[in-house]
Amino acid sequence: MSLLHLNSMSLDQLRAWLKDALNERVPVPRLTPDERPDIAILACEGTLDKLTRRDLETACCDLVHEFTRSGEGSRAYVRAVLHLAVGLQLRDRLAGALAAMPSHLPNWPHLERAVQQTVLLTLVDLKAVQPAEFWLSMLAQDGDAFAGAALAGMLANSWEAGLSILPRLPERESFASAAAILIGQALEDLPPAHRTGCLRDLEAVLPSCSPALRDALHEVVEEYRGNSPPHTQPHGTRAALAACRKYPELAPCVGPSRKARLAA
Amino acid sequence: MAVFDDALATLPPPLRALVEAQLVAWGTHPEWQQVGANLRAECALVHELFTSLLHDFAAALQTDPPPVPEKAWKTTCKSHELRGSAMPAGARPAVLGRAWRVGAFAAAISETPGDLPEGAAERALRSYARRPPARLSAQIRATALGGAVMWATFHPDDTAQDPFTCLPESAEGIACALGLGYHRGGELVVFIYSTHLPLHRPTIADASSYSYYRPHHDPAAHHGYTRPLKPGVRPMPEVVHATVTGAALVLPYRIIA
Repeated sequence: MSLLHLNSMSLDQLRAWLKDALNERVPVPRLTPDERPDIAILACEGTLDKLTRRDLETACCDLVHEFTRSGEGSRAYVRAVLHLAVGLQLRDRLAGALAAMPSHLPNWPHLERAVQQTVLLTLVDLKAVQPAEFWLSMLAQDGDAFAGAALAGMLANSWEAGLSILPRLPERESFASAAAILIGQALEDLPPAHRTGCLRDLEAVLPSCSPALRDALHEVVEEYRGNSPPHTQPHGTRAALAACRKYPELAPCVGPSRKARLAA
Repeated sequence: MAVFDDALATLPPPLRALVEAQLVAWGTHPEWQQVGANLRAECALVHELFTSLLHDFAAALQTDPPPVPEKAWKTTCKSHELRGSAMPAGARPAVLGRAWRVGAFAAAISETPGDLPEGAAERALRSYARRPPARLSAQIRATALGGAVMWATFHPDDTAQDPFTCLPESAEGIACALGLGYHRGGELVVFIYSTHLPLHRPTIADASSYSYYRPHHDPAAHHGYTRPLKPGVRPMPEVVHATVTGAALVLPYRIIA
Protein backbone atom coordinates (compact mmCIF):
# COMPACT_ATOMS: atom_id res chain seq x y z
CA MET A 1 0.00 0.00 0.00
CA SER A 2 1.19 3.53 -0.59
CA LEU A 3 -0.30 6.98 -0.34
CA LEU A 4 0.17 7.69 -4.03
CA HIS A 5 -3.58 7.65 -4.61
CA LEU A 6 -3.65 10.93 -2.69
CA ASN A 7 -1.88 12.57 -5.63
CA SER A 8 -5.10 12.41 -7.63
CA MET A 9 -7.33 13.83 -4.88
CA SER A 10 -8.71 17.34 -4.62
CA LEU A 11 -8.06 19.24 -1.41
CA ASP A 12 -11.58 18.52 -0.19
CA GLN A 13 -11.18 14.81 -0.89
CA LEU A 14 -7.79 14.78 0.80
CA ARG A 15 -9.16 16.52 3.87
CA ALA A 16 -11.97 13.97 4.13
CA TRP A 17 -9.52 11.10 3.62
CA LEU A 18 -7.16 12.49 6.25
CA LYS A 19 -9.92 12.81 8.83
CA ASP A 20 -10.98 9.22 8.15
CA ALA A 21 -7.37 8.01 8.27
CA LEU A 22 -6.61 9.72 11.58
CA ASN A 23 -9.82 8.29 13.00
CA GLU A 24 -8.63 4.85 11.82
CA ARG A 25 -11.61 4.40 9.54
CA VAL A 26 -9.50 3.77 6.43
CA PRO A 27 -6.23 1.86 6.15
CA VAL A 28 -2.84 3.52 5.91
CA PRO A 29 0.55 1.91 5.18
CA ARG A 30 1.51 0.92 8.71
CA LEU A 31 4.78 -0.74 9.65
CA THR A 32 2.93 -2.96 12.15
CA PRO A 33 -0.84 -3.47 12.32
CA ASP A 34 -1.03 -1.47 15.57
CA GLU A 35 0.99 1.53 14.40
CA ARG A 36 -0.71 4.90 14.76
CA PRO A 37 -2.00 6.34 11.46
CA ASP A 38 -0.17 9.68 11.83
CA ILE A 39 3.15 7.89 12.21
CA ALA A 40 2.45 5.82 9.11
CA ILE A 41 1.45 8.91 7.11
CA LEU A 42 4.55 10.84 8.15
CA ALA A 43 6.75 7.91 7.11
CA CYS A 44 5.27 8.01 3.59
CA GLU A 45 4.73 11.74 3.19
CA GLY A 46 7.96 12.19 1.26
CA THR A 47 6.69 9.87 -1.51
CA LEU A 48 3.89 12.29 -2.42
CA ASP A 49 4.29 14.90 -5.10
CA LYS A 50 4.95 18.49 -4.05
CA LEU A 51 1.42 19.79 -4.60
CA THR A 52 -0.10 16.89 -2.69
CA ARG A 53 2.27 17.46 0.22
CA ARG A 54 1.15 21.08 0.28
CA ASP A 55 -2.48 19.98 0.24
CA LEU A 56 -1.75 17.52 3.05
CA GLU A 57 -0.35 20.38 5.13
CA THR A 58 -3.41 22.50 4.38
CA ALA A 59 -5.76 19.63 5.18
CA CYS A 60 -3.96 19.02 8.46
CA CYS A 61 -4.16 22.71 9.33
CA ASP A 62 -7.88 22.71 8.54
CA LEU A 63 -8.47 19.73 10.82
CA VAL A 64 -6.45 21.28 13.64
CA HIS A 65 -8.32 24.56 13.32
CA GLU A 66 -11.59 22.65 13.36
CA PHE A 67 -10.46 21.05 16.60
CA THR A 68 -9.29 24.35 18.16
CA ARG A 69 -12.69 25.91 17.43
CA SER A 70 -14.81 23.02 18.72
CA GLY A 71 -12.61 20.98 21.04
CA GLU A 72 -14.19 17.89 19.51
CA GLY A 73 -12.38 14.70 18.77
CA SER A 74 -11.42 11.50 20.54
CA ARG A 75 -8.20 11.40 22.51
CA ALA A 76 -6.60 9.18 19.84
CA TYR A 77 -7.70 11.44 16.99
CA VAL A 78 -6.47 14.63 18.67
CA ARG A 79 -3.15 13.01 19.43
CA ALA A 80 -2.83 11.84 15.82
CA VAL A 81 -3.75 15.12 14.13
CA LEU A 82 -1.55 17.22 16.43
CA HIS A 83 1.39 14.86 16.06
CA LEU A 84 0.96 15.05 12.30
CA ALA A 85 1.02 18.85 12.54
CA VAL A 86 4.32 18.67 14.42
CA GLY A 87 5.77 16.26 11.88
CA LEU A 88 4.70 18.52 9.00
CA GLN A 89 6.27 21.49 10.84
CA LEU A 90 3.16 23.63 10.88
CA ARG A 91 4.15 25.85 13.82
CA ASP A 92 3.64 29.17 12.10
CA ARG A 93 0.15 28.24 10.94
CA LEU A 94 -1.13 26.58 14.11
CA ALA A 95 0.69 27.73 17.22
CA GLY A 96 -1.52 30.79 17.74
CA ALA A 97 -4.76 28.84 17.56
CA LEU A 98 -3.49 26.11 19.87
CA ALA A 99 -2.12 28.57 22.43
CA ALA A 100 -5.45 30.40 22.44
CA MET A 101 -7.47 27.31 23.31
CA PRO A 102 -7.14 27.48 27.11
CA SER A 103 -8.38 31.07 27.19
CA HIS A 104 -10.73 31.21 24.20
CA LEU A 105 -12.41 27.84 23.93
CA PRO A 106 -15.47 27.89 26.20
CA ASN A 107 -15.45 24.16 26.81
CA TRP A 108 -11.68 23.93 27.42
CA PRO A 109 -12.27 23.12 31.11
CA HIS A 110 -14.48 20.20 30.06
CA LEU A 111 -12.07 18.61 27.63
CA GLU A 112 -10.42 15.36 28.74
CA ARG A 113 -7.22 16.05 30.67
CA ALA A 114 -5.29 13.89 28.21
CA VAL A 115 -6.52 16.06 25.33
CA GLN A 116 -5.53 19.24 27.15
CA GLN A 117 -2.09 17.76 27.87
CA THR A 118 -1.69 16.88 24.20
CA VAL A 119 -2.45 20.47 23.17
CA LEU A 120 0.13 21.88 25.57
CA LEU A 121 2.80 19.32 24.73
CA THR A 122 2.21 20.03 21.04
CA LEU A 123 3.08 23.69 21.63
CA VAL A 124 6.40 22.54 23.05
CA ASP A 125 7.03 20.07 20.23
CA LEU A 126 6.19 22.76 17.66
CA LYS A 127 8.86 24.89 19.36
CA ALA A 128 6.26 27.63 19.69
CA VAL A 129 7.70 29.44 22.70
CA GLN A 130 4.95 30.77 24.94
CA PRO A 131 5.63 33.44 27.56
CA ALA A 132 6.18 32.43 31.14
CA GLU A 133 2.78 33.84 32.09
CA PHE A 134 1.08 31.32 29.83
CA TRP A 135 2.75 28.36 31.53
CA LEU A 136 2.18 29.76 34.99
CA SER A 137 -1.51 30.08 34.22
CA MET A 138 -1.55 26.46 33.05
CA LEU A 139 0.11 25.38 36.29
CA ALA A 140 -2.55 27.31 38.17
CA GLN A 141 -5.24 25.37 36.25
CA ASP A 142 -3.78 21.96 37.02
CA GLY A 143 -0.41 21.80 38.69
CA ASP A 144 -0.22 18.03 38.31
CA ALA A 145 -1.46 17.23 34.79
CA PHE A 146 0.27 20.22 33.17
CA ALA A 147 3.52 20.04 35.11
CA GLY A 148 5.52 18.40 32.32
CA ALA A 149 4.35 20.76 29.61
CA ALA A 150 4.84 23.76 31.90
CA LEU A 151 8.40 22.77 32.80
CA ALA A 152 9.29 22.14 29.15
CA GLY A 153 7.61 25.40 28.16
CA MET A 154 9.42 27.41 30.85
CA LEU A 155 12.77 25.84 29.95
CA ALA A 156 12.14 26.93 26.34
CA ASN A 157 12.00 30.48 27.71
CA SER A 158 15.18 30.19 29.72
CA TRP A 159 17.06 27.99 32.13
CA GLU A 160 16.22 30.38 34.95
CA ALA A 161 12.51 30.29 34.15
CA GLY A 162 12.54 26.49 34.26
CA LEU A 163 14.35 26.43 37.60
CA SER A 164 11.96 28.96 39.08
CA ILE A 165 9.00 26.58 38.96
CA LEU A 166 10.73 23.42 40.16
CA PRO A 167 9.69 23.94 43.80
CA ARG A 168 6.03 24.10 42.69
CA LEU A 169 6.01 20.88 40.74
CA PRO A 170 4.23 17.75 41.95
CA GLU A 171 5.42 14.93 44.16
CA ARG A 172 4.80 12.20 41.62
CA GLU A 173 7.48 9.70 40.64
CA SER A 174 6.32 9.41 37.04
CA PHE A 175 6.60 13.19 36.70
CA ALA A 176 9.96 13.33 38.48
CA SER A 177 11.62 11.09 35.91
CA ALA A 178 10.20 13.18 33.06
CA ALA A 179 11.39 16.37 34.75
CA ALA A 180 14.87 14.93 35.13
CA ILE A 181 14.98 14.11 31.42
CA LEU A 182 13.92 17.67 30.55
CA ILE A 183 16.42 19.27 32.93
CA GLY A 184 19.20 17.00 31.68
CA GLN A 185 18.49 17.93 28.07
CA ALA A 186 18.31 21.63 28.94
CA LEU A 187 21.72 21.36 30.59
CA GLU A 188 23.13 19.69 27.49
CA ASP A 189 21.85 22.56 25.38
CA LEU A 190 23.60 25.17 27.49
CA PRO A 191 26.93 26.55 26.31
CA PRO A 192 29.59 24.53 28.16
CA ALA A 193 30.99 27.68 29.72
CA HIS A 194 27.64 28.33 31.45
CA ARG A 195 27.00 24.80 32.57
CA THR A 196 28.87 24.90 35.85
CA GLY A 197 27.05 27.98 37.08
CA CYS A 198 23.69 26.63 35.98
CA LEU A 199 24.40 23.33 37.69
CA ARG A 200 25.12 25.25 40.91
CA ASP A 201 21.77 27.03 40.53
CA LEU A 202 20.04 23.67 40.12
CA GLU A 203 21.72 22.27 43.23
CA ALA A 204 20.65 25.35 45.15
CA VAL A 205 16.98 24.82 44.30
CA LEU A 206 16.89 21.07 45.01
CA PRO A 207 16.15 21.39 48.74
CA SER A 208 12.93 23.24 47.83
CA CYS A 209 11.70 20.48 45.53
CA SER A 210 9.46 17.55 46.37
CA PRO A 211 11.38 14.45 47.53
CA ALA A 212 10.70 12.44 44.34
CA LEU A 213 11.80 15.33 42.15
CA ARG A 214 14.85 15.98 44.30
CA ASP A 215 15.97 12.34 43.96
CA ALA A 216 15.44 12.29 40.20
CA LEU A 217 17.27 15.58 39.67
CA HIS A 218 20.07 14.43 41.93
CA GLU A 219 20.87 11.74 39.34
CA VAL A 220 21.30 14.47 36.73
CA VAL A 221 23.49 16.56 39.05
CA GLU A 222 25.73 13.60 39.77
CA GLU A 223 26.18 12.93 36.05
CA TYR A 224 27.20 16.50 35.44
CA ARG A 225 29.29 17.16 38.51
CA GLY A 226 32.65 17.90 36.96
CA ASN A 227 31.97 15.63 33.88
CA SER A 228 30.53 15.90 30.41
CA PRO A 229 27.09 14.28 29.87
CA PRO A 230 27.36 10.46 29.78
CA HIS A 231 26.16 9.95 26.23
CA THR A 232 28.79 12.35 24.87
CA GLN A 233 31.67 10.54 26.57
CA PRO A 234 33.93 8.82 24.11
CA HIS A 235 33.54 5.07 23.83
CA GLY A 236 36.47 4.24 26.02
CA THR A 237 37.55 1.01 27.63
CA ARG A 238 35.23 1.52 30.62
CA ALA A 239 32.24 1.90 28.34
CA ALA A 240 33.34 -1.07 26.25
CA LEU A 241 33.79 -3.30 29.30
CA ALA A 242 30.39 -2.29 30.61
CA ALA A 243 28.90 -3.20 27.26
CA CYS A 244 30.75 -6.51 27.25
CA ARG A 245 29.35 -7.48 30.64
CA LYS A 246 25.88 -6.93 29.27
CA TYR A 247 26.60 -8.33 25.81
CA PRO A 248 29.19 -11.14 26.05
CA GLU A 249 29.18 -11.44 22.26
CA LEU A 250 31.03 -8.11 22.21
CA ALA A 251 33.91 -9.48 24.31
CA PRO A 252 36.20 -10.22 21.31
CA CYS A 253 36.13 -6.47 20.57
CA VAL A 254 37.95 -5.69 23.80
CA GLY A 255 41.47 -6.99 24.04
CA PRO A 256 43.49 -7.74 27.19
CA SER A 257 44.24 -4.81 29.45
CA ARG A 258 47.52 -2.98 29.01
CA LYS A 259 48.65 -4.39 32.37
CA ALA A 260 47.83 -7.94 31.23
CA ARG A 261 49.68 -7.42 27.95
CA LEU A 262 52.74 -6.11 29.75
CA ALA A 263 52.63 -9.05 32.18
CA ALA A 264 52.56 -11.45 29.26
CA MET B 1 -13.90 -27.59 2.65
CA ALA B 2 -12.00 -24.48 3.76
CA VAL B 3 -13.06 -22.92 7.07
CA PHE B 4 -14.03 -19.78 5.18
CA ASP B 5 -16.27 -21.62 2.74
CA ASP B 6 -17.81 -23.57 5.59
CA ALA B 7 -18.63 -20.40 7.52
CA LEU B 8 -19.86 -18.55 4.43
CA ALA B 9 -22.23 -21.40 3.62
CA THR B 10 -24.01 -20.97 6.94
CA LEU B 11 -24.97 -17.35 6.19
CA PRO B 12 -28.42 -16.57 4.81
CA PRO B 13 -28.18 -16.16 1.03
CA PRO B 14 -28.58 -12.35 0.99
CA LEU B 15 -25.72 -11.92 3.49
CA ARG B 16 -23.60 -14.46 1.70
CA ALA B 17 -24.08 -12.58 -1.55
CA LEU B 18 -22.99 -9.32 0.08
CA VAL B 19 -19.72 -10.82 1.31
CA GLU B 20 -18.98 -12.50 -2.00
CA ALA B 21 -19.72 -9.33 -3.94
CA GLN B 22 -17.39 -7.35 -1.70
CA LEU B 23 -14.55 -9.80 -2.15
CA VAL B 24 -15.01 -9.51 -5.92
CA ALA B 25 -15.00 -5.71 -5.67
CA TRP B 26 -11.74 -5.84 -3.71
CA GLY B 27 -10.17 -7.82 -6.53
CA THR B 28 -9.26 -4.63 -8.36
CA HIS B 29 -7.24 -3.18 -5.48
CA PRO B 30 -3.86 -4.82 -4.75
CA GLU B 31 -3.91 -4.46 -0.96
CA TRP B 32 -7.58 -5.27 -0.49
CA GLN B 33 -7.29 -8.14 -2.93
CA GLN B 34 -4.70 -9.59 -0.53
CA VAL B 35 -7.02 -9.02 2.44
CA GLY B 36 -9.70 -10.93 0.53
CA ALA B 37 -7.26 -13.73 -0.26
CA ASN B 38 -6.20 -13.86 3.40
CA LEU B 39 -9.84 -14.14 4.43
CA ARG B 40 -10.40 -17.09 2.11
CA ALA B 41 -7.22 -18.81 3.30
CA GLU B 42 -7.71 -18.22 7.02
CA CYS B 43 -8.01 -21.35 9.16
CA ALA B 44 -7.07 -19.98 12.58
CA LEU B 45 -10.62 -19.10 13.60
CA VAL B 46 -12.97 -21.83 14.75
CA HIS B 47 -16.17 -22.21 12.75
CA GLU B 48 -18.42 -20.28 15.15
CA LEU B 49 -16.07 -17.29 15.32
CA PHE B 50 -15.52 -17.26 11.57
CA THR B 51 -19.29 -17.35 11.03
CA SER B 52 -19.70 -14.49 13.50
CA LEU B 53 -17.01 -12.46 11.71
CA LEU B 54 -18.61 -12.92 8.29
CA HIS B 55 -22.10 -12.37 9.62
CA ASP B 56 -21.13 -9.11 11.32
CA PHE B 57 -19.30 -7.93 8.20
CA ALA B 58 -22.29 -8.67 5.99
CA ALA B 59 -24.63 -6.99 8.45
CA ALA B 60 -22.40 -3.90 8.46
CA LEU B 61 -22.48 -3.82 4.65
CA GLN B 62 -26.26 -3.81 4.79
CA THR B 63 -26.65 -0.64 6.83
CA ASP B 64 -28.40 2.37 5.44
CA PRO B 65 -26.82 4.54 4.18
CA PRO B 66 -24.34 2.06 2.73
CA PRO B 67 -21.03 2.24 4.53
CA VAL B 68 -17.58 2.38 3.03
CA PRO B 69 -16.85 -1.38 2.95
CA GLU B 70 -13.29 -0.92 4.16
CA LYS B 71 -14.51 0.97 7.23
CA ALA B 72 -17.09 -1.76 7.84
CA TRP B 73 -14.35 -4.40 7.66
CA LYS B 74 -12.14 -2.59 10.18
CA THR B 75 -15.03 -2.16 12.60
CA THR B 76 -15.99 -5.81 12.28
CA CYS B 77 -12.44 -6.96 12.90
CA LYS B 78 -12.18 -4.88 16.08
CA SER B 79 -14.80 -6.99 17.80
CA HIS B 80 -13.06 -10.24 16.80
CA GLU B 81 -9.52 -9.45 17.90
CA LEU B 82 -7.43 -11.87 20.01
CA ARG B 83 -9.79 -14.78 19.22
CA GLY B 84 -7.19 -17.13 17.73
CA SER B 85 -6.29 -20.13 19.86
CA ALA B 86 -4.24 -19.40 22.97
CA MET B 87 -0.84 -21.04 23.19
CA PRO B 88 -0.71 -23.90 25.67
CA ALA B 89 1.53 -23.29 28.67
CA GLY B 90 4.17 -25.79 27.58
CA ALA B 91 4.65 -24.10 24.21
CA ARG B 92 4.88 -20.51 25.44
CA PRO B 93 8.12 -18.68 24.62
CA ALA B 94 9.92 -17.13 27.58
CA VAL B 95 11.11 -14.17 25.52
CA LEU B 96 9.19 -12.15 22.95
CA GLY B 97 10.53 -9.50 20.61
CA ARG B 98 9.14 -6.52 18.82
CA ALA B 99 10.35 -3.96 16.28
CA TRP B 100 9.00 -0.44 16.11
CA ARG B 101 9.78 2.92 14.54
CA VAL B 102 11.75 5.12 16.93
CA GLY B 103 9.12 7.83 16.56
CA ALA B 104 6.39 5.36 17.49
CA PHE B 105 8.21 4.42 20.70
CA ALA B 106 8.73 8.09 21.52
CA ALA B 107 5.07 8.83 20.88
CA ALA B 108 4.07 6.00 23.20
CA ILE B 109 6.34 7.32 25.99
CA SER B 110 4.91 10.80 25.57
CA GLU B 111 1.33 9.50 25.79
CA THR B 112 1.56 8.08 29.28
CA PRO B 113 1.32 9.79 31.64
CA GLY B 114 1.59 12.91 29.46
CA ASP B 115 4.53 14.68 31.09
CA LEU B 116 7.14 14.44 28.35
CA PRO B 117 6.95 16.12 24.95
CA GLU B 118 7.51 13.67 22.15
CA GLY B 119 10.62 15.44 20.88
CA ALA B 120 12.21 15.11 24.32
CA ALA B 121 11.22 11.44 24.48
CA GLU B 122 12.78 10.67 21.12
CA ARG B 123 15.93 12.59 22.00
CA ALA B 124 16.23 10.60 25.22
CA LEU B 125 15.66 7.28 23.43
CA ARG B 126 18.41 8.04 20.93
CA SER B 127 20.84 9.32 23.56
CA TYR B 128 20.59 6.35 25.87
CA ALA B 129 19.92 3.36 23.61
CA ARG B 130 22.53 1.10 25.21
CA ARG B 131 22.42 2.36 28.79
CA PRO B 132 19.18 4.05 29.70
CA PRO B 133 19.52 5.96 32.98
CA ALA B 134 16.97 5.48 35.74
CA ARG B 135 14.93 8.49 34.65
CA LEU B 136 14.39 7.09 31.14
CA SER B 137 13.82 3.54 32.39
CA ALA B 138 11.08 4.87 34.67
CA GLN B 139 9.31 6.55 31.75
CA ILE B 140 9.64 3.45 29.58
CA ARG B 141 8.22 1.22 32.29
CA ALA B 142 5.00 3.24 32.34
CA THR B 143 4.65 3.12 28.55
CA ALA B 144 2.29 0.88 26.58
CA LEU B 145 4.51 -1.08 24.20
CA GLY B 146 1.90 -1.27 21.46
CA GLY B 147 -1.76 -0.94 20.60
CA ALA B 148 -4.73 -2.94 21.86
CA VAL B 149 -3.36 -5.92 19.90
CA MET B 150 0.41 -6.32 19.98
CA TRP B 151 2.27 -8.43 17.44
CA ALA B 152 5.40 -10.17 18.63
CA THR B 153 7.93 -12.70 17.46
CA PHE B 154 10.16 -15.21 19.28
CA HIS B 155 13.26 -17.23 18.52
CA PRO B 156 12.33 -20.17 16.27
CA ASP B 157 14.93 -22.58 17.74
CA ASP B 158 15.28 -21.55 21.38
CA THR B 159 12.30 -19.67 22.79
CA ALA B 160 14.32 -18.47 25.78
CA GLN B 161 16.66 -16.54 23.49
CA ASP B 162 16.43 -13.02 22.15
CA PRO B 163 14.75 -13.51 18.74
CA PHE B 164 16.85 -10.74 17.20
CA THR B 165 20.02 -12.78 17.67
CA CYS B 166 19.00 -14.90 14.66
CA LEU B 167 18.14 -11.89 12.48
CA PRO B 168 20.38 -9.53 10.49
CA GLU B 169 21.76 -6.53 12.34
CA SER B 170 20.04 -4.05 10.03
CA ALA B 171 16.64 -2.39 9.94
CA GLU B 172 16.13 -3.61 6.39
CA GLY B 173 17.01 -7.19 7.31
CA ILE B 174 14.76 -7.19 10.34
CA ALA B 175 11.87 -5.64 8.41
CA CYS B 176 12.34 -8.27 5.70
CA ALA B 177 12.30 -11.24 8.09
CA LEU B 178 9.35 -9.92 10.09
CA GLY B 179 7.38 -9.07 6.95
CA LEU B 180 7.12 -5.38 7.85
CA GLY B 181 6.18 -4.44 4.36
CA TYR B 182 5.74 -0.72 4.76
CA HIS B 183 9.24 -0.12 6.04
CA ARG B 184 10.74 2.44 3.68
CA GLY B 185 14.13 2.81 5.26
CA GLY B 186 14.83 4.45 8.58
CA GLU B 187 15.84 3.05 11.92
CA LEU B 188 13.95 0.57 13.99
CA VAL B 189 13.97 0.17 17.74
CA VAL B 190 13.94 -3.46 18.82
CA PHE B 191 13.33 -4.80 22.29
CA ILE B 192 12.58 -8.01 24.09
CA TYR B 193 10.12 -8.66 26.90
CA SER B 194 8.22 -11.32 28.79
CA THR B 195 4.56 -11.53 29.69
CA HIS B 196 2.11 -13.86 31.38
CA LEU B 197 -0.75 -12.68 29.19
CA PRO B 198 -2.35 -15.24 26.85
CA LEU B 199 -0.49 -15.49 23.55
CA HIS B 200 -2.85 -16.00 20.65
CA ARG B 201 -2.34 -17.27 17.18
CA PRO B 202 -2.92 -14.27 14.88
CA THR B 203 -6.00 -14.26 12.68
CA ILE B 204 -7.36 -12.16 9.87
CA ALA B 205 -9.32 -10.15 12.43
CA ASP B 206 -6.11 -9.12 14.22
CA ALA B 207 -4.53 -8.18 10.91
CA SER B 208 -7.65 -6.33 9.69
CA SER B 209 -6.57 -4.31 6.65
CA TYR B 210 -2.83 -5.07 7.04
CA SER B 211 -2.04 -6.76 3.73
CA TYR B 212 1.38 -8.13 4.73
CA TYR B 213 -0.26 -10.65 7.06
CA ARG B 214 -0.47 -14.20 5.76
CA PRO B 215 -2.59 -16.91 7.41
CA HIS B 216 -0.61 -19.98 8.37
CA HIS B 217 -1.90 -23.11 6.59
CA ASP B 218 -1.87 -25.49 9.59
CA PRO B 219 -5.10 -25.18 11.60
CA ALA B 220 -3.52 -26.98 14.57
CA ALA B 221 -0.44 -24.72 14.86
CA HIS B 222 -0.01 -22.76 18.10
CA HIS B 223 1.26 -19.64 16.35
CA GLY B 224 1.53 -18.02 12.95
CA TYR B 225 4.54 -17.14 10.82
CA THR B 226 5.68 -13.92 9.25
CA ARG B 227 5.91 -13.64 5.50
CA PRO B 228 9.44 -12.38 4.73
CA LEU B 229 9.63 -9.76 2.05
CA LYS B 230 12.20 -11.68 0.01
CA PRO B 231 12.30 -15.34 -0.98
CA GLY B 232 14.81 -17.53 0.79
CA VAL B 233 14.51 -15.70 4.12
CA ARG B 234 13.37 -17.83 7.03
CA PRO B 235 9.92 -16.87 8.36
CA MET B 236 9.74 -15.98 12.05
CA PRO B 237 7.05 -17.21 14.40
CA GLU B 238 4.46 -14.61 15.37
CA VAL B 239 1.80 -14.27 18.04
CA VAL B 240 -0.56 -11.55 19.23
CA HIS B 241 -1.52 -10.49 22.74
CA ALA B 242 -3.12 -7.64 24.62
CA THR B 243 -1.11 -4.53 25.48
CA VAL B 244 1.79 -4.78 27.88
CA THR B 245 3.71 -1.91 29.41
CA GLY B 246 7.41 -1.32 29.55
CA ALA B 247 7.45 -2.97 32.97
CA ALA B 248 7.70 -6.22 30.97
CA LEU B 249 10.64 -4.99 28.92
CA VAL B 250 14.16 -6.37 29.31
CA LEU B 251 16.36 -3.30 29.01
CA PRO B 252 18.24 -2.09 27.12
CA TYR B 253 16.41 -1.62 23.87
CA ARG B 254 18.43 -1.18 20.69
CA ILE B 255 18.17 1.21 17.78
CA ILE B 256 19.12 -0.45 14.53
CA ALA B 257 19.95 1.49 11.36
